[in-house]
Amino acid sequence: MQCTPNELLALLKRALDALPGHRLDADAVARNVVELEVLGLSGVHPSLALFNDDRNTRAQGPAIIHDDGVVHMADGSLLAWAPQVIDLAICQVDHTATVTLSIDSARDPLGLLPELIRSDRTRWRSAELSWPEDQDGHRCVLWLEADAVDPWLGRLDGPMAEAGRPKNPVSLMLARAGAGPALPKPPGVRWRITPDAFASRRHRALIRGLEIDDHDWDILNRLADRVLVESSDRSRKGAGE
Amino acid sequence: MSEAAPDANGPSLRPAAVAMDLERLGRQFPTRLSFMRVLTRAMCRERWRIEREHFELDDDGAGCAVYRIATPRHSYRMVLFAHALDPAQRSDRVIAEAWDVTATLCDGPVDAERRRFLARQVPRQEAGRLDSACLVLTRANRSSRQFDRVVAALAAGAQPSVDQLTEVGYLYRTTAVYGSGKFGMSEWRHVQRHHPDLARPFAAEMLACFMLRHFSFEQVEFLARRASPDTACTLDPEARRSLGVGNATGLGMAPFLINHPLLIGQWILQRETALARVLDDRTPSQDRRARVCTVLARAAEHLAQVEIDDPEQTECNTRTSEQVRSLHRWLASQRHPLDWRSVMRHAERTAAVEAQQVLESALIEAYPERVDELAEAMTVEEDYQLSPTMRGSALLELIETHYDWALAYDFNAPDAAGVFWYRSEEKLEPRLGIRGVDPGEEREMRLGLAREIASCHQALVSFLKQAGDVTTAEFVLRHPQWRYTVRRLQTLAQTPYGEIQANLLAADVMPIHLLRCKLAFMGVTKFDPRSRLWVRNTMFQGAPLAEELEPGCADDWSFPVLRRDARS
Repeated sequence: MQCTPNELLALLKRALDALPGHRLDADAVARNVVELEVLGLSGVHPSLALFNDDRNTRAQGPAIIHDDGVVHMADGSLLAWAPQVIDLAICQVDHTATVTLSIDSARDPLGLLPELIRSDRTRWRSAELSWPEDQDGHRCVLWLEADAVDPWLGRLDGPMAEAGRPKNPVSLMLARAGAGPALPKPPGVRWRITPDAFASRRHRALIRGLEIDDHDWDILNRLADRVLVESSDRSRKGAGE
Repeated sequence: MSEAAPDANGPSLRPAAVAMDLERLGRQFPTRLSFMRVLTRAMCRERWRIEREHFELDDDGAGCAVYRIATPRHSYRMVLFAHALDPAQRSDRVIAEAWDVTATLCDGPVDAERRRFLARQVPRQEAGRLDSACLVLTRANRSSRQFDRVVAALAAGAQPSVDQLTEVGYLYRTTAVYGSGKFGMSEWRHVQRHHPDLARPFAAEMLACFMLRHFSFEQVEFLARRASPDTACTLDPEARRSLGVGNATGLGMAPFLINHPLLIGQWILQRETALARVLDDRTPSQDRRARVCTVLARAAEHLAQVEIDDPEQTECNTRTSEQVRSLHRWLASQRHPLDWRSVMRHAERTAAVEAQQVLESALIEAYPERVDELAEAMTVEEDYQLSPTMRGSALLELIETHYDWALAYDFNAPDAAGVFWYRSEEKLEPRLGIRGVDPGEEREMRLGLAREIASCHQALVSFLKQAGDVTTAEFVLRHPQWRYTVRRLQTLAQTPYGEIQANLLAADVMPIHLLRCKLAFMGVTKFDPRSRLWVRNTMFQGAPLAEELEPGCADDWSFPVLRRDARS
């Protein structure tokens, strides 16, 4: 299914609105999913799991923050809770030149990327996000400068991934704006997608729209339709008829 | 006049309690900053050219027409499909399935193949799929009594009578105008970046309506010629100018105003800035005074000419016309120097809000050199950022100072949340239900911002009692359901005007005020409420014609008046 980013956004918001008793910032979650698709990364498909698991939507959110900067996600999705995690990281970076949050038991680490992109970039100077890509010690790495639109995305191989890198599953580092050096672009990473490549994906999404898997699109529509109220002669009066 | 808030960077602006009051917003009239006026000014200034590229209609007027719109930078096409519609199917409701005309405004050339693609998709409207070359999708129905009378008059070689033109004021009435990424069309961000001609709010949508008006003239003339080739004449320019495009707007427009507070606030800020700049002229010249008098006189006549069915609005128009006439007489009779603030104070003492709004429009009208540039600042990046480091106590104070109007409602009173908004399964149309009576309450749309703020405030007070003065981030971590509300209110608190101040859940809510507020920014006239939920109105009445788009064309068509003495 080909759709525009706006159509996907509206559909996701309706689908989230239809979730009874959810406690998410649905607007932010929907925007983050759309942004992932705009960047050519998978957003819609993993987001469908949010609708089947109360932990993702009705829970209180990540249990955070010990002094050592560990965020406990209890297998929650960062597609759902990225806004709150980035809020906390920004709060912490206010007090220290560089902050590292280790996020345990989190799914969908890429969910942090769009929230990071949309966050208040006057508060931080550079960011690095990494998470295990497989069981062999390879890690995905994202590096983003606050004054650039898009990140670098690449892979760090086993031994180098172990050396000097945080071992927690998902690691988010932020360097404060105007205080000390920026985080260096991590060495040894084989960069797969450059900011220029992301920019051209954005451009293509704006011109040609997004390609969403038909099955996923149907599921999302069915979820979104749950927010609709059946029509009747009486309800038409509620529109002025 | 209400006391103005000081603004260090410019003229004094009126306080939000005045500018954002929904009842006042719901009584606005268009100004020279309205989007139709801004569009036609640009079209004239830049000599946009409108050429007929394809025009193939049958004896019933059904077929296809394509117009090329050439600007100095680019060219667009308006592609219209006219249909033979069974009158029984003609409906203004958004849930209608068939129309007299369906159309799209699109980018680039339209060849036969492209026409065939559009002919398959455009008539289906919401059920069709377009692509990013399409900027606007719209449809319209004939005003059957007006359309047939005009064709008959022209076929007989006569012009339609002024009384007839006054009674309706248009040949076609749009029932929906879609843009910004809907149904596969181009996104606003794309239009904004790649089409500077249309990079103002709703410029593409307004252009589509302007072109619909142009087509309506060509279609009635075509049908008149077909009916009587020997006697048929064309509509004379004055009759053309006096015809606009009708519009029917319902609840679908209301969520837009609530869901885009930064954008709406920006429009209101520009309008208020325009008024403040005018009021800053402490010694208006005689010429300015004469200009304001001219507009007031025309507005009084315009309101007197409006013929609508709604008795309450008719009475309001009559009263407003009289009050504006009285304001005009008073202003014209003043012999001593007078500043505009004292004129505004006089209006507040002697006239109702509608007449005060006419005066504001007239004042803005008289100062193009002070206000026109503000039309270029109507867009805004809509980014609602959370300030996570803000202390809870500061957030509490922010709510209590900026949103005291929302906290003033007693949501324990049954009528304070007597209605709810929901999406109908019929084309997702927003509708209003009575709480406790109508089904769908559990699927309510979150448009009751005042109640949301009050509930968020309550949650924050309790949380701070337990947790101490923690950060906003910690509050929204424990109460994630309030994160959107908090970032919205933190963002809006930094703007001069913030939110529209109203409780949209009140049993006696008047959604029509929301509709009229937005429609006035569009530039429509002749508000004709059909209930508190939808309104008919007229677009582009009095506007220049496609063949008159020249720099010298008078940008002076606010409050259009039909000159009875010059016609019939």
